[in-house]
Amino acid sequence: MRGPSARAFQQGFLKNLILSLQACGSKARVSSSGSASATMSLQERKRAIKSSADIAMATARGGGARWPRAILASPPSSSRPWKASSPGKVRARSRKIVRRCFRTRRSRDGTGGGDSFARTRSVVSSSEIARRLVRKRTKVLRKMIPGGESLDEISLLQEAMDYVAHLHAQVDVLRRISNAVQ
Amino acid sequence: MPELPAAGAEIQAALIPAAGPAASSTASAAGRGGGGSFTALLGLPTSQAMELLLPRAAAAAGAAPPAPAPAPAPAPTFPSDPHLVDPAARFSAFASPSPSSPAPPAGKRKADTADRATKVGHRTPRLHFHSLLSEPYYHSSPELTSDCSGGLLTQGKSAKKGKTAEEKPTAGGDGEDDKPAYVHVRARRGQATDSHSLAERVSGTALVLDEIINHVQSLQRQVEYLSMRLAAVNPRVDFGGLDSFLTTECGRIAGLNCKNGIDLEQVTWPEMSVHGARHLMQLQQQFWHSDLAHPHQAASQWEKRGDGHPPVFSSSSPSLFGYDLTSSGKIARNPTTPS
Repeated sequence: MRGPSARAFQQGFLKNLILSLQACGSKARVSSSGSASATMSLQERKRAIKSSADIAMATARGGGARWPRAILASPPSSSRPWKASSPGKVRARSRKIVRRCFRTRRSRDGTGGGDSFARTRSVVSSSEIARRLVRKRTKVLRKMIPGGESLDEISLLQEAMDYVAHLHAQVDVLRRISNAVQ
Repeated sequence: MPELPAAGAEIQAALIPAAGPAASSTASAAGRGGGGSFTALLGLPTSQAMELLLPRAAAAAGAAPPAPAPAPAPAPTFPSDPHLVDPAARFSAFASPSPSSPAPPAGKRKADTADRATKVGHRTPRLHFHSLLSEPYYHSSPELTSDCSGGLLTQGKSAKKGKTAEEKPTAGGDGEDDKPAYVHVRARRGQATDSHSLAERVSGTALVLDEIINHVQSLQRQVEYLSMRLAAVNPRVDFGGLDSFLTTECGRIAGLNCKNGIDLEQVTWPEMSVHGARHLMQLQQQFWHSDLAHPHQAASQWEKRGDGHPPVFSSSSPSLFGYDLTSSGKIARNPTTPS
């Protein structure tokens, strides 16, 4: 169990975060013509904090993965609205796909979404549906992991794992900061 | 637990059937498929996967070069497989046992992932990468495949007649990828044509991907939420006070991190004014270095601060970071250039 390494990352991240926040603050101060307080809206501040947190995480990570480089390469693009894909919606979507595929056989009489269709029909289609799902989700995952557009599946998953672990640390540190400051 | 010393090309080569008359044709096809081939291992227990992969190691050197250019370079390794598998185990640690996550945006998400995770598999109620790689994941519960007809994979065919599921047309690939996003799914003997098993296998992958996506989304949402909180707390973007406060708090803790100071120096800050930052950095370094007392006490301080936080995170973070974050090395050695 290597706790200190996680802590080291968190501390590095924290330092970077503080520095970047201060840099943002000083820049805002400079740009807002002499007033001591930056006149930024809540959204702008939130975006500034989030981007500085992402950059801090990326710089604290070092060069061992691909996503830090992607974050540092284009930080303005890191703030994007997320797509809400709750499991219910996903299932509804997949059910729609199933229904679309079995256009000829709309057996609404008691079958649960394609389970008991004739084998000859469902042989190809269900696996096709499943592959379609996998492809779709891989696409979504690529969008979510920074720098994931040009990765193959293995590397994508590795990056995703690494990114998730560091996101976790980032959330942890941000939570502690916000609890400490309040 | 045996590890998977698999290079990407080895995994690819593992798809080449053992009996080789069709080897060349499927080799080229598999080579085209690129990196989707990890999922071939999903249906295999680790020992069998190793059997497949290790003898192929010699063949991989021969098989990889004839693969065309879009295929990944012959050594995107799983460089440190204990490190890969450990975080997978840890990954599940917060994927499932979090029914009571008090953070409001995270609560629903966590419950959803927990619910889904409990449906998965009778043996392990969590979605593991580890369990994916080390056991036939799909034969554990038929209700995994909500979309596909249920049929249980029967295990225990020792002879692997590999057959890549190539029903996908080759032109199918996502528009944005350089290579078609195949999922090469390896079938066992007697089950190669069993569509139900194929469908289950692929849909299990889909579920795993969905889990990952949900998790990443929930974490990113939490970051948004916390940054909004921080933005609301400070009415002005003035973190000078924050700096002194935090350095006094954390200076006690971080005495043992000389390395971080050096790292900061080597960091490039492309879009920020570095001048003030560097001055502050020096101050910080002095502060961090000055207090070298009591690493153990420092550790307890750090943990103690986590008491008021949701138990999910503070309890899972030490276990999560049993996996080494900072020195996790090169996880992707692909020389593919980012687009």
